[in-house]
Amino acid sequence: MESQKKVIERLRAAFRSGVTIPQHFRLTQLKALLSLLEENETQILEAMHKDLAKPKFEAVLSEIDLVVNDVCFAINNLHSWMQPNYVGTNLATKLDDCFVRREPLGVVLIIGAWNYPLQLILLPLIGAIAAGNCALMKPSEISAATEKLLADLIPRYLSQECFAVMCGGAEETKQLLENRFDHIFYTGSQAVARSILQAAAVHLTPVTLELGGKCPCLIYGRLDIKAAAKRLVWAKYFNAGQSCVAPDYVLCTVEMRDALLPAITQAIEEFYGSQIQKSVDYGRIVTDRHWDRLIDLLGKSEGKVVIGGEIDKEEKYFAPTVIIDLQESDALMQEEIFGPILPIITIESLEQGINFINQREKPLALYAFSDEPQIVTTVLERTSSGGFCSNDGIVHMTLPGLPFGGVGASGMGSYHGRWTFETFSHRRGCMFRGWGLERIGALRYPPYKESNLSWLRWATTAKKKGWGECSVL
Amino acid sequence: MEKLTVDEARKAFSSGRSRPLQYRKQQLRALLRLITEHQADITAALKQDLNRSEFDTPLFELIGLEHEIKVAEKELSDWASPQPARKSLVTINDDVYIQAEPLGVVLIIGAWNYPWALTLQPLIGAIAAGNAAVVKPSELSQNSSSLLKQLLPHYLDKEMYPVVTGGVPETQELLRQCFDHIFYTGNSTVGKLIMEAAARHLTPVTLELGGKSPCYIDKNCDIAVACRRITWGKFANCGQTCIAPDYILCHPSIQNKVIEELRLTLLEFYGEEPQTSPDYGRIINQRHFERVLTLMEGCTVAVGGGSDKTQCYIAPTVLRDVLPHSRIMQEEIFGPVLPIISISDVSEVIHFINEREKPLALYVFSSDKKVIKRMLNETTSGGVVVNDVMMHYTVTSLPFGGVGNSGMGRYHGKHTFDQLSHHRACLIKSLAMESLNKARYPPLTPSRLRRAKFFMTSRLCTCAQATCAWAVIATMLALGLLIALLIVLLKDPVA
Repeated sequence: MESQKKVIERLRAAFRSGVTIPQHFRLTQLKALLSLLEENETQILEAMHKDLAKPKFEAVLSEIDLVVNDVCFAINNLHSWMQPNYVGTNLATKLDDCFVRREPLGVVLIIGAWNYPLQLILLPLIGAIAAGNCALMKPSEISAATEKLLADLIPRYLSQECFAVMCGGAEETKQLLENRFDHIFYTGSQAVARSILQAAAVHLTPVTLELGGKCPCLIYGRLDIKAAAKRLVWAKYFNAGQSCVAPDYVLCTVEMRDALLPAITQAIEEFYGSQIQKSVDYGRIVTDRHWDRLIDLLGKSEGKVVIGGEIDKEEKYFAPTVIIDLQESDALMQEEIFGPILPIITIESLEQGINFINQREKPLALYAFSDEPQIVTTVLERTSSGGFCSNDGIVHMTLPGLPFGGVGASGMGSYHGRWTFETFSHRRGCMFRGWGLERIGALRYPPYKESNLSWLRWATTAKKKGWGECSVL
Repeated sequence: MEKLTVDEARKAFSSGRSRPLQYRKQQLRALLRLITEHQADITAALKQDLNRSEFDTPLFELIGLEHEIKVAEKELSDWASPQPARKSLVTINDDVYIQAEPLGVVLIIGAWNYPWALTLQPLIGAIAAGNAAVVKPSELSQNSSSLLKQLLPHYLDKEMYPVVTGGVPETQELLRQCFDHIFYTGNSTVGKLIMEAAARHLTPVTLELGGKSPCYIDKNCDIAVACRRITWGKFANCGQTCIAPDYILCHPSIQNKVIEELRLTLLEFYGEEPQTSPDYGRIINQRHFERVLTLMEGCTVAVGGGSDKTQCYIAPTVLRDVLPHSRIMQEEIFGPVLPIISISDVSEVIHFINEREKPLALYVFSSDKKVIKRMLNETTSGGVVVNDVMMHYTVTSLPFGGVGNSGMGRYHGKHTFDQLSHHRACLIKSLAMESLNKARYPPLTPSRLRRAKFFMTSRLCTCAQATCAWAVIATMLALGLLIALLIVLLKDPVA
C-alpha cells in the first residue's frame, strides 16, 4: 500500500503537469463520477445498509440522487463557471480589462463523515474536480462498508493520477494533516475541527468546516398542527436522527406541545407502522459506541419520555422518542443529540424562545414553524444560523442554489452547487493595461505637484452612479 | 483590559443598534468626516512614521478610503438586500434567497506600512456589514496609531468600534478573546500564529499577507514605459508595499537597457540626491533598516546602494545579475532594493515563479499576447497586472487578496462586505400543499419513490440543453402565432 507521502506527491506532480486544468478533463471526470453512481447503485445501497441500516428510500433520495443532481448541475454549468467575469471599470480605466479568473488551488483534502457517507465525500469532490484540483479523499472509518466501497470504486472510474482515497482512523488522519494541502474540507465535530484548523495554520491552508450543533425548532402561533408534525417527524427521524441539520429540540408553548404530541404519534405511525422495529424505512444507530452514548444521555436526563423509548441493543435500534418536562440544564441540552430523541422545551413567549436560541452557539440550521408570516420573519431577523427554513426541515440543503454551511461554532465556509466550485477556486483579480495614456498615468509620478494631485482627486471623485469603480488613475 | 473592551463591543453588538442600515450609513459618513477634517494631522503623523510625502498620503491612503466609503454608502442597500436563489420544482411556490447578516464582533489588525488604508479599509466593510469591530493598529507606526486612538472615538460609536493600541502582549491578549472574525494584514509568520489562535475559538480569518511579487519584463515590450511604471511602484513608500514588484525577471540581452531606464526614471522622480527629495520615504525603523541592508550583501549594485543609518535612509537601489539562491531572493525585501535576475526563456520564467510560494501579485510587461496568455494560464498569484504595477488595488470591484502563503480571503468594495458577513441560506415555506410532500414520506412504495425522485431532482430546471430546446420551440410557436395574428389582422375584409 502506498504511503501517504507518496500518494500526495503523486497528486501534486499530476497537478503540476496541468492535466486537471482543461475543461474537457474536468467534464470527463465528472461524467465518470456519474457513471460510478449509476452503475453501482445496488452496491452503494447495500454498503450503506450495512453501515447504518439506511433505508433504501432515504439512501436513494438523500445520498445517490442528491449527488447525481449535483454532478449534473456541475456538468451543465461548468463552462459558464469557468469563464472570467469582467468587472466594471470607470472613465479612467475604460481602456483596461479588469476581470476575475477562477483558478484551481492545487491538491485538496476532503475528510468525510459517517452519517451520510456517500454525499459528504462526493459533494465536495464534485466541486474540487470542477475547479480543476487534484483531491485526496479520507472517508470516515466508522461507516466501514462505504469506505471500502469508495476505495474500490473511485480508482476504477476516476483518474488515479489525480484522485486518491485514503482509508484509516484517527491516527492516520493525524499523520495526513502533517502534510501540506491547498485546502482542507472537513465535515464532522467541533472538537476535531479545532485540531484540523491548528494543523492547517502551520501551512496557512484555508479550510472549510461543516460542523454541527443543536438545531432549534421553534413552533409558535397559529399553524396546521398535522402538517407541521409530519414535517417535523420526517426531518427528525430521517437517518434515525443522525443528521447535522436534524431539528435537535423543539421550543413551543405548553398548549402547543399538548396539541403536537398526538399529531407526532400519528405521524410516526403513518410513516413506520405500529411495529417500528420491523419497518424497513427506519434506520439504526451507526455503532455500539454511539448507541451507548444515546442510552447514557437518556439515562442522565430528568425529562419524561412520552413517546417511544424502546430500544434493542443487538440491532442498535432506538425508537423514535419524544421527551418533555426538561430544564435548560438537562443532559440532553448540553450537546448535539445526533439521535432519535426529541426534547420539547416549553416557553411562555416568542421573546423567550428567541432569547433561548441566542444564548447558545449559532446552529447549523434553524427552523421556525408557524402559519403567521410575521412570527417567521421575527425569528429570522432576531437570530443567526448557518441556514434557515420555515415550516419544514432539512430540505433547504437540497437546493443547489443555496450555500450550505455553518457560522460561528457550526462551521465556516459553504458548499453545494456553484458554491463548492467557488470554495475550491482562487478568485484571481486581473488587470490588463495598455501602453498608451502614459501622459495621464504620469500624474501619479513624483516629483509630486499640488496641481497633479487636484487632477487625480477630480478624476477619482466620479459622483455618477456606476462610475465609482477606480479610485486612483 | 482588552477583555473588557471586547466584552463591551459584544454588548454593543447584542443591543442590535448596528443592524439598521441607517446607523451603518451614519457611521460611514462619520468616518469620512474624520478623514477629510483631519487630513493635515494624518499627513503629519505619516511624515513622522515613514517620512511620507504630503502628496503620497492622499494618493496612497486617503483617496482610496474616501472612495470606498462613498461606494459602501451608495451600494449598501443593494448589498444588504436578500439575493434570490434558484428554486427546484418542489419549492416553486416558496421564497428561496440568501441573506447577508453581520457576524458579530470582528478584530481588525492593521499594518504599519499603510497604517490608515490597511486599518480603516477593513473597518469600512465591517461597519457596512453591521458588525462591531475592535481595531488594533500597528504599534510600529506609532504616531498614526496614537492619532487613530484619539480621533476614532470622537467620530464613531466608541463602544461599537473601540481602538486598542499596544504591542505584542496586547495583541496576544486580544487573541485570547473570542471573535467572530479576525482580519489580519501583515506577514506570513505572524499570520500562522493568528490562525492558530483563531483555531481555538473556531474563528474564521482573513489573512492579507505578502511574499515576493515577481515582475517579468519581456523582450518584446516598451521598456521605457515599463521601467517608469515599475519605478513608481517599487520605490513608493520606500519599497514598503505588500504588492510592490519585489524582483525583476528579464532576458540577459535587455538587462542593461532596463537598468539604464530605471536609473533615468529615478533621476527624474527623486533627483540627484534622493535623500533630499521630499517625495522619497524612509525605512520604518532600525531593525528593518539593518535587515534590508543585510539582504543586499554580496550582490552587485547597478544603481544606488547608499544608506544613512541616522535617517533610516536607503537610496533607491537596483542590483544586477542576482543569483536565485542569494539571500535577497529568500525573503520578501520590503525595501527600496530591486534585484534583477536574468532568465532567457519564458518557460524558465514560469518554472522559476512556480517553484516558489504563490505571490500576492504578479506583474507581466509584454506586448506579445501569447506570452501574456502563457504567464496568466501557467502561474497563479493573488492578483495580476499586465503592463503596470499595483493598479489592480484601486479597482474596488476586483477582489484583493492572496492565495497559499500570500493569504486567504479577499476584500475591497463589496468583497469586504461579503467577507465580513454571513450568507444565510433561507427557505421560507408555508404549511400548505402538504399533499405534495407525501412523495417523500415513508413507507416506501416504488411509485412514491418515483414521484419523489421527479420532484427533487433539479435536472429539469438545470439542463442547459433542455432549456435551449424549450426556448427554441417556444420562440417558434410564438412566431407562428404572431404571423397568424398578422395575417388575420391584415387580411382585407371580404367586401
